[in-house]
Amino acid sequence: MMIQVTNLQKAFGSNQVLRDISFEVARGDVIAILGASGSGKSTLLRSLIHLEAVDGGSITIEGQDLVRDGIYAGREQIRRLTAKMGMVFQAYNLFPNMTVKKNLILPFTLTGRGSHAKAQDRCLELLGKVGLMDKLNDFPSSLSGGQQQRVAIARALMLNPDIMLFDEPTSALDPQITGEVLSTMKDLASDHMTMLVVTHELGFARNVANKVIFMHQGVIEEAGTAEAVFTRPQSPVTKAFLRL
Amino acid sequence: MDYIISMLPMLLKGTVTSLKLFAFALVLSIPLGLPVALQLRSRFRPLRWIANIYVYIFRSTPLMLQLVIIYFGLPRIPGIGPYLLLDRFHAAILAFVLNYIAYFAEIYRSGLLGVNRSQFEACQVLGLSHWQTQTRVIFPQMFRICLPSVANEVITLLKDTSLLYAVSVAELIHNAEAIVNRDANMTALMVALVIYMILNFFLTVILKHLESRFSWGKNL
Repeated sequence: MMIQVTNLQKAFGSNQVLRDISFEVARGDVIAILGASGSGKSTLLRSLIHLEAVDGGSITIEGQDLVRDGIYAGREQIRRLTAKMGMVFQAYNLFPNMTVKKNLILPFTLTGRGSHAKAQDRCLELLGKVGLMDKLNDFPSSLSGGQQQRVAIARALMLNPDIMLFDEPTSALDPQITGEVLSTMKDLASDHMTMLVVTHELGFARNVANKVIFMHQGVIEEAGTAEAVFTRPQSPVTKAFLRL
Repeated sequence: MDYIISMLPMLLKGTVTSLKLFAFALVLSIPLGLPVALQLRSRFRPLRWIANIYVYIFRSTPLMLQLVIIYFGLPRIPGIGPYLLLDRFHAAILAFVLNYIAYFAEIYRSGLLGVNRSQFEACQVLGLSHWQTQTRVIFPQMFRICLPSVANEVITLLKDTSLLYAVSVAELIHNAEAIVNRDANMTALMVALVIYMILNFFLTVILKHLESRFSWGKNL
């Protein structure tokens, strides 16, 4: 198993955002996490890469504990486990003070993944993959939202993650340009990248994801293969959501 | 015209003194403002209090008074006083640096508030250390946000050098005044005014250039 999550709990003050969440992610899984705003899906994703600290439960990444029964591993282990994951944010979060090239190269060299020359090769390869080779020396502010998000995906891929986490990657984009980001993600899925995608794109969830997790008020209301959840939803809440 | 040319050597000599103070004060206070700004945001309360009190004192009292106290006042402190006797120029540098650190610290603090919090998250998921995050990502963005306010202070600093007058250092205004008193003619002060304008013209051009140099693709 790539990721095992058991009995995860998290509250912000008196607001219990995650209640007893358990699921597993196998290598090559593309899991769409669906649910209404405030259902806890973003918090769940952020917990996996330690942007949020959970109150209880366990997260195991490739057999090693990130947190076990609410007690976190040591700093070094946390760093090592979260380094296996790449994350793409809704607001891209590119570094505005650096060119596209520098955005990709800097984390690679700063984290000691290899030489500058190696970083440069990888940078060109990945920008080619997301179709932005010509934007190498542009600053993020001169790119469209869709282009920025594709750069953000390339930047995360620079560090060669085993798992990619996407937190509403197309929610900030105009409907006309969500397609270019989704197709980049689709390419990634067909390269057998393990992906967890918090999204409102039901089309993507249905056609690209192999599993769907539907969250409601901090619990997994329904989970299963994309096929099963979309064609034979069991829970009335899921049914209502999918009809929207 | 000949009259103006005749006074120039003395005025330019004063200008050099003014510029010297300007340069020392700038080179020291711009970087030293940063650690104070970080202290203002420290999680450790006593550090925050000290920084706040420091900034409060130096921002709420006139620079001229600070200058006079450092030069005339410090040496009168019983016991350690005699060791605090500075010459006029060094006393002025100290006063200016302490004063401008307070202003730059506040400007930097506002700049740090202006850097999007999500930048920290991006750095974290990319595995950057705290130090790398600050120096490579946060400070450059803070600096860019602050640049117009810093530029404002830099121009004010050049004019504030005229406060050296209060401790009788022979800077530009001091020398101009001397000529005015000697010749009973206001021209020297007018020439001094033109010199300030010329210097600030060049400063403004340099600062504007810096702003566009760090525009990162945005049209400003």
